[in-house]
This record gives sequence, structure tokens and C-alpha cells, in this order.
Amino acid sequence: MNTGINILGIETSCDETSASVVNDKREILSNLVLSQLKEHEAFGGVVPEIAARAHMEHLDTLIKAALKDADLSFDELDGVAATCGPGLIGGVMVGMMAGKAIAAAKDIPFIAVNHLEGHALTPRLTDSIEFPYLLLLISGGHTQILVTEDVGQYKRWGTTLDDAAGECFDKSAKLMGLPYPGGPNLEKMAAQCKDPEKALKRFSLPLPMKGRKGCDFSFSGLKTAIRTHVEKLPEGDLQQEDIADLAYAFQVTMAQTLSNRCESAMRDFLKQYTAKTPTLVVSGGVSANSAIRQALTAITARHDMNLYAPPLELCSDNAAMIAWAGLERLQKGLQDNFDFKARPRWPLDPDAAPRQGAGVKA
Amino acid sequence: MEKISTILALDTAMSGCCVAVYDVQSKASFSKTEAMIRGQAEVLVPMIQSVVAESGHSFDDIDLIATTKGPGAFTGLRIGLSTAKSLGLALDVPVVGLSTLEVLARQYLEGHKSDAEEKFAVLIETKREDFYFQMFDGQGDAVSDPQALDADEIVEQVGAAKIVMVGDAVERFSAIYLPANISYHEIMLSDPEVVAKMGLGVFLKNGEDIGQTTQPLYLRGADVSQPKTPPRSLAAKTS
Repeated sequence: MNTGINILGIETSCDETSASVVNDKREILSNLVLSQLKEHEAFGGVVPEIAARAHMEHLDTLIKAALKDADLSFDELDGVAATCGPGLIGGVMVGMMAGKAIAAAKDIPFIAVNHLEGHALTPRLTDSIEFPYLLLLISGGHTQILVTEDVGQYKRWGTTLDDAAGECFDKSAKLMGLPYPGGPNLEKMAAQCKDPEKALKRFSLPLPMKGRKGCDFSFSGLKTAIRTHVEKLPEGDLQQEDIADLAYAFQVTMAQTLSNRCESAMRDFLKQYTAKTPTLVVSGGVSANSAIRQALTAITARHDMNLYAPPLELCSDNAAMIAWAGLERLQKGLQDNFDFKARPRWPLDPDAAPRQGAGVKA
Repeated sequence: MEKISTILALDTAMSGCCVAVYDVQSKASFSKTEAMIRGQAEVLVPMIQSVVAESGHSFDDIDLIATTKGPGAFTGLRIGLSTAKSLGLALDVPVVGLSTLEVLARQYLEGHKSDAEEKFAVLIETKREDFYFQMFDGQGDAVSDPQALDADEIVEQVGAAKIVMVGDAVERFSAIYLPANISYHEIMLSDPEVVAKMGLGVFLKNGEDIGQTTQPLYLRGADVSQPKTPPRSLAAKTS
């Protein structure tokens, strides 16, 4: 018999519907993720109302299956954690209400989880990374550098001033005529580049925020430069070779700007914090990109820091990270009332200065 | 089929938050309703808890859940449906979904049993220019499909027939059209006891085969606009 703590996690804040059960022995008993790629494909991006409808259609089936996979009944749950923001509010509502309902029916704690805290605490689920650590979160909706000091305690050092990194990947890929989802397809295309040196000369791109102090990001200039290059390419269909070169140049620039901003944060982190093994954690869907990983590996080595990336399936949106964040919060005595209000904008660091663009949300 | 004795009913699809616990044997019900444009996601679960407790029951007594499934506010109808379906999962009891149009039709008839001859229509607020609309006969049986129509289209469907318009959008409609053959009867909120009794009816008729009833009734697409300038297309791979 299982006497530990079992938490059901629910994630519906963007375009993945997910349910998972995690326990306090760091075991992921189940983690089911249903991606809505097909639903949004025709529109080249996530459509909020379509996402909310898809969550509504599939969430109960996933919750049922997550318990079955975990071989647990609802009576064996010790809490329910649901993403309550930041994110697309229509979808968040579906998951939040499911979480509240199950917790109320079973008279167990409800934990309203900040989606970003799910990403931030994942390295403690998959490995026993200790506080404090530096976190680079790069996804379709968020681009942030945070110091994770403790559960519920974050310092946001950098965020995007316009688009998120993943958004820039997707929009640039779209301009290049690449199919949705843009990020992975752009990476595949870049791999086709035959002469990297020539590609970088042909398509010069601005390095966003170069030389600027701090760790904030900006990607809209990069996207505009891609648009200008695409417009200048010969009329008619875009050619594979041209796009391979452009995708390569884009990816190099993206890796450079992320590294450049991270290095700034790493210097400050090493000055201000004492950690046994100073670590940079990278998470979010964009961290799947191998060029970016290589670049981050190089800079962490240069600064004598450890680079940690959770397994890919736990880097992109999933409910195991929400269950785990809920569990860590519950162990700290933190739980929420059933009148909790979903928060489309919800910064992890309430003291961080407000920003524009994707940075406004969190 | 197991016997149903206690029903939990809820509605958040229109401009309110409505919850009832209905006892089938004693026909006693305990309900709370609160008018609100938004905020149902915060109010609903605490309201369910207090209605269950104040009705003298616990969650374990509930053996059927009835909820509205639209038409109404998209987010609002999902708040009720997601709550109802998850309660159903956790308590292992069936969930019935009901149309808000049919709920208001029944609610109207229960208050007006003498006018059984008269056709009537239900109008529910879309919070846009048009209306959610459905026609019923004097017995409460639907004589048209549920539709989202603008005022002109509704007047065309109604024709010259003498009719009562019922629902939370009749004031807005009557400001556009006030013909002699149409009279108006405003109902702003659903009665969750009616939702409970209708849910029981559907369950007794269909048994466990009620999964389809919890499909949301949106009556409208997701309103997606395509980009104005489509991206350039990429030539197919040659090698």
C-alpha cells in the first residue's frame, strides 16, 4: 500500500491538455499529454477559443486515464494541483474548475499553481537540484531568466520586452514558408544548410540587446530582419537552399542572444549567490533546440557552471511539473481556497518591474 | 440502473451562478442563485459546497449531476461543464448536460400551465448582435433547432404567429422589434431545481447512455480570422 503523498496535476494553459499523478518519492506515476498541434495547424498559431474547446473535450478522459495509469483511485489522492495562470484564460478555466471540483468532492487540498513555477521546480522532480539555481525559461509564451531561491520565492532578472523566443521561432518559420509548428521545422531546415559560413555572410541579422546591460530579451527586430530577407528573395516559390541558409543564420543569432543574456545573469548569480554546484537550468519547449543547447553548454563550461536540462518531455508543457509544484507547495503548508481567481498574468516575482509584449504576462 | 435519490444541479452558462440539491423522494430542493456577468469560476465551487452542506447532505450522497451545457457564454458554459464532469469522475456518478434554451422553456411552462396552447420562443443573450433562439410548442417540445440568429431572422421565423418570447435577452430584442403578435416574458436566471428535475428525466429515459448530452452546445464557431497576408510558399524538396 502506498502511504506517501499522491498529487494529481492538471495543465491546460496553452495548447497541451495534460493530467499526471506524482508522489513525494519523486515518482511520476503517470503523465499524459495531448497536444493540439492539428487543431491549430491551419491558423499557424494557437487560437485561444479552439484551445479552450479542445481542453474541454479531452480533459476528463485524460484525468481518468492518469489515475488508471497510476493505479490509484480518487480516494488515494492527497491533493489536486491545477495551473491557474499565466496563460490563455479560457483553457486555464477548464483545468482550474476540474481541479477545484475534484478537490472539493474528495475534501482534499487544492493547490493553484503558477505555470512558470511548474517549469521552475521541474529539476527538483527529475533530479535533486538544490536551491538556489539560475533558470532560463524559453517557450512559445515565455522567455525569462529567474533565480529560483526557494518554493514560491523567485527573482526575475530578465524577461522579453516583446515576443517570446518560441513565438519568434514560430513567426520566423512562418515567414520562411515552413509548416506549423515552426520551431522544430526551422531546426530541421537549418540542418540542411550546406555552407554555414556563406549563410551567415548572406543573411546578416541584428543581435538583439547586444551590449545592453541586464538580462532582458527582445526578439521583434530579429523577426523583422527575417521578413526583410524573405521579401528580398527571388520572386515565386522560396527555394529550399535559400531558406536552409536563412534558418541557419536565424538559429545562430537566436543561440547567440540567449547566451549573451545568460552570461550576464551568470556573472551576477555567481557574485550574489553561494551554491554548492552553481547551476543553470534550461527549460521550456525551445530548450529542445540543439543549437541552443550547444551554445548554453559552451557558456556554462566557460563560467564553471553546471548546465541542467530536464528530459525533453518534461521541458515542454505537462502536468507532472504542475503536480510536483503543487506537492512542493503543499509540503510548505501552502494551499488555496476554492474561490481562487485564475490569473492570465501572474509574475513569479511580484517585485519585478512590469514589461511589455510577452513579458507582460509574467 | 441504480436508483437516483439526490441530484446536484448547476448552471453558469448565462449571467449567473445557480446551484441546487434536489431530493427525488421528498421533492425537496435547496438552491442558491446569484446574478453575475463574470466571476462564476470563483463563486461556483464554494456555492456547491454550501448548498450541499445546507441541504443536509454530503458529496457522497449525490448520485446524479445535472448541468447546463450552453448555449451561452463560452467560458461560462465550460466552467459549469468542467466542474460537473470532474465532480462526476471523482464521485463516480453520471452527469447529464442540458440545453439552457430547454431549461428556460421548461421553467416558463412551469410558471404558466394555463397557456398550454400557445407557442413560445426562448431568447438567450449572446452578448453580441444576435440571439440564441429556439421555438417550442405549448407542451414544451422544441419545434425548431437551437440557432444563433439576428433579430430580422427571428422575426422572419416567427412570422405572423402570436407568440411569447422568453429569456434573458427579451429586453434587448424588444428594443429592436415590438410587433403586436409578440409578447415578452423576461427570465434572467435559470432555476437550478428545474435543471435537476430535467436531468433526472433525461437520465431515467436514457440510463447510463448520457455521455453525449455533456457535449458543449456552442452554436457558433471559434471566430478565427486568417492572416491578411499569407506567408510565401516554399518550393518542394527536389533531392
